[in-house]
Amino acid sequence: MSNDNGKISVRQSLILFLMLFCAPAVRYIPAYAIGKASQAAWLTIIPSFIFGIIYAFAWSGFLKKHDKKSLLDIINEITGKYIGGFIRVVFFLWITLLLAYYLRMYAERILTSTMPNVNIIFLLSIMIITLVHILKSGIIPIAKMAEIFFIIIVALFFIYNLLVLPEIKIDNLLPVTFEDTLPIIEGSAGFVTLFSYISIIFIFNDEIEHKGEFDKMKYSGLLVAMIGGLFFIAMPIAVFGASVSSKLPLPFFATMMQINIFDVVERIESGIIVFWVISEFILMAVFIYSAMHILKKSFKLNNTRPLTMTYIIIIFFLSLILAGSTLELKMLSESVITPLSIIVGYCLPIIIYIIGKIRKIV
Amino acid sequence: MIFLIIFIIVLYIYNIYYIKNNIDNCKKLKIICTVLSICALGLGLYYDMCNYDNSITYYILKILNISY
Repeated sequence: MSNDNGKISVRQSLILFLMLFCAPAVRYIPAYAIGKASQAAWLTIIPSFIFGIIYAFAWSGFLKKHDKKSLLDIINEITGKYIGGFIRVVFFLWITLLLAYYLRMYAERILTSTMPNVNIIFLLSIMIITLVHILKSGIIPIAKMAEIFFIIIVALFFIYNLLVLPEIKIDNLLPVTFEDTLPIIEGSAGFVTLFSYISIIFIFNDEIEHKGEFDKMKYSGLLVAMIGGLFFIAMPIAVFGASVSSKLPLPFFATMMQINIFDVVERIESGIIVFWVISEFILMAVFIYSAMHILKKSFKLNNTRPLTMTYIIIIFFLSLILAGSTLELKMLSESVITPLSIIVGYCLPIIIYIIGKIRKIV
Repeated sequence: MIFLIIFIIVLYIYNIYYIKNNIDNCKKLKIICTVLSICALGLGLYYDMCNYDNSITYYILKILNISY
């Protein structure tokens, strides 16, 4: 798709969403779902798919009449100037917290998995310098980069899952009973958290060329995310069993470490690190772009380029003072970030959609 | 710490210079840039002085009364 009009296509925005989905899905989804629903965790994709459909339905409703407007403008129109302003501040703070968390998590993960003796400031600096460089050019290079990397990531993902197939034991995925229903629904909160990131993409909806494509593509995007999610959860359970997987900090990564082809090819999990770092880089670039878009819209600015570097430095320091250890980060994720993301990113747009429907604005 | 202060001040001066020369109607942008620079400096100084007992998560979890 040509981006001559300075906008990205719906397909590109869905690929951006799938890239945002990848990084936390490797780390967070399996650990969270298995912790809640044990061996039945792989079924969390069913309620998640239903939650996803409800969410996609709300977005379709928003886009029917307001496909050229940013989410912030739609919120302003529905809720009014003051409540709209308050919601903007909430969105900005939420994105800033997420950015600090993901930046720190990226560095911690590299430190614990491959480079234990490297200074964390060095790892963070590399990431922020690259982010500053890519964000100079706007959203189009990020979207095009995501398109290219998405193909590589999908290929890597399926190759790794194919290689781990000899290690799986289907019995580990069973038994599943009716008593697992509630834990399965509870375990789907991880997916709902990731769905909430769609609202971050729709903050710059005015830079997405719609042409009515969202309605056609929403289910395919959701389906791809769910198939990926199924592999992320089912593979660790099938290889290690639920009780061992629930004790692993990174179950999917540990599963990929089991790849062994005729005792010759083994320990090739570094490919998954590539998978992580690329998707986390895209995630942070999109989040920073959205945060800058909030400032641009709120203060009616023509250009936010001079603010980007200073904002990224704020994120850098915030990520350093965010937590003292990985345990604190895990607690922050479970106790604060998950509920906050569900409320701000998932529930709030649906509530606003209902209000808009009552007021006949959407 | 001195490096940090110098870096943020140099970045601030560069940004103000950039805004002045490249962007019309720049008063608001200058104010936001100043606020963000002050925030960055404040967080940098806090990081330089804080230790592991007083991370942001520690305070958030304390407020929410969550033990770990």
